[in-house]
Amino acid sequence: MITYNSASSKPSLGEFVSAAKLWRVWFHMGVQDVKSRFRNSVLGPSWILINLAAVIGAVGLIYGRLFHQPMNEFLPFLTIGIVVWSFISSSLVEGASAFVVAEGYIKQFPFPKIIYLYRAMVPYVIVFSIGLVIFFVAMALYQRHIGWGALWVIPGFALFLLINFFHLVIVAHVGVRFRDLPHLLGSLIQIAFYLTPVIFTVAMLKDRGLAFVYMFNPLYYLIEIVRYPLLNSALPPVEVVYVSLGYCVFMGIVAFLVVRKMSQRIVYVL
Amino acid sequence: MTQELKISLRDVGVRFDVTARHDSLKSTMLNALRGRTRRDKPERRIVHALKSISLDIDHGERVGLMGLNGAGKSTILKVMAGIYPPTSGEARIDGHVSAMFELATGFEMTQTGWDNIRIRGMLLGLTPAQVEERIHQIAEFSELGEFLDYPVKTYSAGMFIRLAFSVSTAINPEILLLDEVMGAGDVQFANKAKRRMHEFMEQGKILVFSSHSLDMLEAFCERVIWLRKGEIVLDGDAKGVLAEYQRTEG
Repeated sequence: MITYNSASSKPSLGEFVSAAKLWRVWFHMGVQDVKSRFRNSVLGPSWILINLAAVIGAVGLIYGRLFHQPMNEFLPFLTIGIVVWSFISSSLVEGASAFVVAEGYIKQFPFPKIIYLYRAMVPYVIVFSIGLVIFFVAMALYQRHIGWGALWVIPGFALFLLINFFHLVIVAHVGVRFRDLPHLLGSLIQIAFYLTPVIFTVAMLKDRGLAFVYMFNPLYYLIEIVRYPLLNSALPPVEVVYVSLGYCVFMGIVAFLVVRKMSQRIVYVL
Repeated sequence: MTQELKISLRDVGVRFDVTARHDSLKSTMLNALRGRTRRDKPERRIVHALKSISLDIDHGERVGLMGLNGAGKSTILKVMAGIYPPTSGEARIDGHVSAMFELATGFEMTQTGWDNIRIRGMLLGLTPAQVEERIHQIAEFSELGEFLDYPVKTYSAGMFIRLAFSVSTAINPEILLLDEVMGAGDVQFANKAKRRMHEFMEQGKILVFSSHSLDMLEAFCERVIWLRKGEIVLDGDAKGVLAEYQRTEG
């Protein structure tokens, strides 16, 4: 029994909770999205694995040499960096069309719209998990030790997920109104890639007096809360934790404001 | 079912801002930079799809909506379905709604008919287990046979309607909203659909549908609401409204 009372259906936290409870629906849709991307391809979803391995292999071998890095440190560093980065970039770029691609559903079914945002996250998490496997393989190949401290990645990833979800909420809502957004974000994220320590390390920046490049870059902290525990088996430095938490709160507030202002209008603008 | 099914609209208005669609990020930013935002903008074009509509539909009623294209039939159904939040006024719908609109959208084009039945079933409120329970029944009703194994991008318009109608009516909804779907599809399926509508109506739930066919409206409804340009012209007993409609619109 459902009661729709449009006057009282101001977007609230409740909507996010009730949408989350419908996890079977959005999880199913998200998995189907991944499957249908590879329908009729011979190798199927293993393309995700191949793509990642190829990029990491090629970039790792060239840049490792260029930067004179020991491979046993550089390759795992690069792997986890790229895996984390592709999560961030998908939720910003692809996320900007999360509502747009669900237009057909939104106009047909009175379902909480938030499920289309959860659904959008599912493929990113799947790709991330596959990337994580490659990371552990790389660690094992170079016989790197992983201690219990690596478990800090669990709260780290939870925070990471939350921040990316806030990103997604914001760009998905704004992206309905401004269809230029995915393209704009696409180029911005490409620039950001060269400004964020993913293929180069923080130490390289410091040595050349470029520390400001990462220090004022929120994306660096966002990567570090996942990358640091996995590479060093320890809690990330306190400033990383604090900046990430602060950034999370800030994005949460922005997301809340965006939802409050735009949520009701989405279906009319689509 | 202890709860009384009811649809009640109070002063419901729906406005579409047509200007918004042509706004780009660029023009908005440029306007913001120039300062005088509002005045430079082309006049805001607003379409009033519904103008303060008030009505109540109670348990067991079968209501037909009629009017010319653009009269607001689809919009009012979308408000009843909880898809369009009213831009003014209030809509209250008590009961589980299943709706089907003229253009059946929301298909995953690259996925098979089966996959689409699953997704639509869930979006209509079924649990995965319930979907599996009914999926063969739905498939049988749709008569799509082996086409269900193919991606739906190969389907014809009529086949989309069959698929959507079969799922939407298989869930045993309490309130069924249909937008001009009754005349769609081939004759054979239309007859089948009519039979299912009759079954549904015998269960004494709420049915609201729009149609251009006066015969259909007369056959299925006891009450007809005649809309014109987002306003109710007449609302009452089917025979009376239809007679009046024929008299004035010829």
